[in-house]
Amino acid sequence: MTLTFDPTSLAKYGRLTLIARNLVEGFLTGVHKSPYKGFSVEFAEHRQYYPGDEIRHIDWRAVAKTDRYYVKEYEEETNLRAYLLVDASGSMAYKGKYPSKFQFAQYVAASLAYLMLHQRDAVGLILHDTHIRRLLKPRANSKHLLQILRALELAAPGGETALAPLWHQSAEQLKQRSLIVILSDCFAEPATLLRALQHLRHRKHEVMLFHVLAPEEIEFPFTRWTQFRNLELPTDRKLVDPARLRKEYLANFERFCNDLREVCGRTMVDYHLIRTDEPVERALGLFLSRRQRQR
Amino acid sequence: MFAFLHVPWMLLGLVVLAVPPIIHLLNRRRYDVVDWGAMQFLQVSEVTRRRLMLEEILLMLLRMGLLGVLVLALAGPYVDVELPAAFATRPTRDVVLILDGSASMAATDELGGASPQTKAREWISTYLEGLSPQDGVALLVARDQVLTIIDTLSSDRERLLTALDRLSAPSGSANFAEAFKQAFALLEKSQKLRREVIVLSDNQKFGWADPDTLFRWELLTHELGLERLGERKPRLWCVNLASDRSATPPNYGLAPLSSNRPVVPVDREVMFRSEILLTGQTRYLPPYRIRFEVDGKPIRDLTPPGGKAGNLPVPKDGRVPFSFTHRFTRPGSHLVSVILEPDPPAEERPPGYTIKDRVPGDNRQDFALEVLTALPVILIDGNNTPSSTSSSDFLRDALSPARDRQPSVKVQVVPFEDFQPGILTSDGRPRVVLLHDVPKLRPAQVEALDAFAATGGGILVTLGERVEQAWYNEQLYRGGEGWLPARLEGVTGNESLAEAARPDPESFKHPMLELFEKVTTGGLSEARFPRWWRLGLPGRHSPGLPVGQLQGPRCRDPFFVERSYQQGRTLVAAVPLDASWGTNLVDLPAFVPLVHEAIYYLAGARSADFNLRPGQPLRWRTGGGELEDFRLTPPSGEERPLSPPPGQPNTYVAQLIRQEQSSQLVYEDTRQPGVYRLLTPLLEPIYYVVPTDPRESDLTACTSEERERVGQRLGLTYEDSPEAVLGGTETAFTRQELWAYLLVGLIGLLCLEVWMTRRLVMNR
Repeated sequence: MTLTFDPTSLAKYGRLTLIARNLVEGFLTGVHKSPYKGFSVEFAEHRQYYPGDEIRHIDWRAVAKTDRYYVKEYEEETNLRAYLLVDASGSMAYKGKYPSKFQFAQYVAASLAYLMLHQRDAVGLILHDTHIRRLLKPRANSKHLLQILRALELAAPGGETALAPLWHQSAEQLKQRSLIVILSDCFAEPATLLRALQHLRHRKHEVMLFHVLAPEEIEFPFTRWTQFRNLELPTDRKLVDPARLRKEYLANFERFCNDLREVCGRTMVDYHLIRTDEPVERALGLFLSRRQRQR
Repeated sequence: MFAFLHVPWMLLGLVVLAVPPIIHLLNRRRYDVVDWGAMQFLQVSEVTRRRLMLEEILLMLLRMGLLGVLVLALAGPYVDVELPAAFATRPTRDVVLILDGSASMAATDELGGASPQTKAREWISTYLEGLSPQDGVALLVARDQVLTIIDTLSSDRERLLTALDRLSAPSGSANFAEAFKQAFALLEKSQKLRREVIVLSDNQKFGWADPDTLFRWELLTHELGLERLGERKPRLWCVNLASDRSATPPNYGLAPLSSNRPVVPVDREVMFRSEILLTGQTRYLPPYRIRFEVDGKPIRDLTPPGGKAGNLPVPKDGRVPFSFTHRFTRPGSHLVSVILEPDPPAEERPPGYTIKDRVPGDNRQDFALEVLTALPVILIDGNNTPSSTSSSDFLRDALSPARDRQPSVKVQVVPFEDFQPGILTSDGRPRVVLLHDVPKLRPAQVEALDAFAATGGGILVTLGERVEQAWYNEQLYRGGEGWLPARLEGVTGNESLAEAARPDPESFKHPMLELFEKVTTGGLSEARFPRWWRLGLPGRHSPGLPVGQLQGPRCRDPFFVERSYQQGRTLVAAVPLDASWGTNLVDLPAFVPLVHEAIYYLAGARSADFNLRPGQPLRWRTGGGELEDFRLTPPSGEERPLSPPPGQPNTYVAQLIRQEQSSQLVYEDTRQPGVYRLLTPLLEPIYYVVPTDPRESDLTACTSEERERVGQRLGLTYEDSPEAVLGGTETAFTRQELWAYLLVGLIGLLCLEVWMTRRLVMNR
């Protein structure tokens, strides 16, 4: 897969509609073999027969006409319901050299919405910080895309996060079985997240967790004395010598990521760490590969 | 006791301890601000927080400690601790050796063994072996003027020993006070804990504990502030290199040579005087030989005083005077030398012969004098009226008789009105100006006479009828500031011979009059002066000194009054020295010698220029030539040309001071007693003599009380062997310099700091 988009260059396009369409179409153009093609009722195209293909899929009429073996491929019909659960808490506002984590989550969410609607899947949106700010039920029509994008565009990160209660609340509210794509930095106690994810899984939801992190949060490259101001709680400030603290920080951070991965593993949640310095297509690729594995 | 070697204000450097905390605080004030989401990962455990803080405090303390130890090490701390000698280390030291360079250091014992000078070489060699390689040693030689042989605190032992081997033979006397001053100045720069001054001497009383030197010690104590120095005072040692010498060893010496006339005419007899100085003798045995030399060439042997047999009792003052005469046949500078040989040569000595003389360095005396063809004199006559005879004729004829084809004095008579000031500075510059009954002079004439006297000329003033008293007092005496030696009080006496004043023979002690002391018939004491000028000497602080006295019926007045005026000498006579006022002086045979004595006495004012005090600059008035054309031979030195400062290799440094009429050559390094021979561009030798102090011949040793007195005054320890001086510091060995330990500590702390910083960096 060729990575063609730099996330920083996307910011200048502004509107998510355009960005999402460009991303998805560009992405799809680059993929020669569409993962969405399968064998269904609606014919898509012929392709040459290869040993191993089922004989029942051979188009005998075409054999008669051309004296060659072709198999018929059909458009897949899906009834996927998906929720994009986007964290808009204060900590998502962190911005280092690259776009903020929230901006990155916006691009990914918009792209996924476009992609899924393009495939006529139903997509919904949950935006939250301390509370659920916006909840859009899944729809499969193209007008719905605009609602989703508009909701994403108008959102701004802020407020304190309490992820687990929100996820519990979401689990309670979403009655139908759905694919839940979570875009969050997950800065909460992994133990509490475990229970929330278990709750979602208990409700038969498929969960895909995109763990959005800034490279600075992963590498902690600061060297000079620095005052860190809490994005979620402005009164919380820490003046430290980062160089002295780095080892301890990285250990803490790695432990957290490992715990989170373990939590996801235990709850059969598809976990992906995405960095804001990586192209958005990577998230799309991860999503599609998951969809393919599901078939 | 804990103290610091260097100035305590260096401890102010401890304020640098505040630098690490200040840097830390400044760093904390300058920080970046980051809005951050992952705050929970910045929460470190309590253990980690404590560890970080501990590391931070430790590192800061370490850096403060580094700076503190560095400052302390620079302040040179030491501590006096009682350590067993086995554990004590010898501190580094700077030592100034002061070697006695006086003539007595060459004195041998009864068997003719090693002199203290030879022993000093061995002593220093042994002492140097006991020193550490980093110890610094300087060497001074105490003479009349101190010679600096090694002028820095050097660790080059070979250089010092080589310099010792090259030392010239001891001569003259020693000025230890000056040597101490120079030693203290050298040690002032020393940074070492132990600083020592070691005097190597022969325990001679003269130069160490005689009344003059005791007074010098007093002055030195105050000048150096020895009592105030406290811990900073260098340790002082005195080593006696002649401990086996008896208290009053026998010795013969010569007193300085003198002459009745420092300036003498050619072919005229001149008398020289000296004395044999006896110390440690019970009887006076005449010396084996007394040699007389002129310009280094033997003339004859002098008859020893007391005859050849001798064996006379020793005079109370231990001095046996003798005199001799000589006629010089050539004009110019001459060197008269008398060499005493108290003992016969070794091969002529009978078995069991007892050596009378221990110090060879005091058996020679020299005297430099100037011999002139004719002494140029200008006679300024107070009689201005033209006539065939004048009262000044008596003086003119006395000095330069008309019949004498080769007079010893060349007189030029000038009436006072015709006296031109330029005559005193022209090529035929007179040595003496004679003012005979001059009423008064013009200002230009007075100024010229003033300059003449100031530059070494002699002036004789005879007072008569014409003299204007008020003008003399106002213009020439000037309240004691002018060159006239005495104030004129007025003419006294009358024409009666019966009441006339006469010179008192008892007062003929002055060199100018001593010739007449024992002459009875036709002598000066037979002169009668019915009238004379009363010469006033106001009080004890008068610049003038009376020369002879006139004894009147009711009064006693000075006959002559003399004074030194800068480089010159002036003399005023209370009488006109002619036939006026009814005197019989000119009829007496003493008249001519009196005038000659007065003139030559005045002409000798410049003779001091040839017989110098130690350190008094040697001067020569030269008509022309460059400095490099002159050559000089100092005592025990080789003949070399002169060069201006800073000097060229293989030359002696001198200066040529250009003046209006002539130039003056000045050579200042006349510290060593002996003969200095200056060779002019015309190859004419000029002799200068720095005489030795006769007291140096007295080898009397210091008594223990005298040694103790000097020791207490200076805080000085007497110790004889080099081991004792080195080992004598045993108690001081317990004084431990701490800088070396601090340096080790500093390196340790530095390593610790590097390790800790590296560890912190690696942990990041």
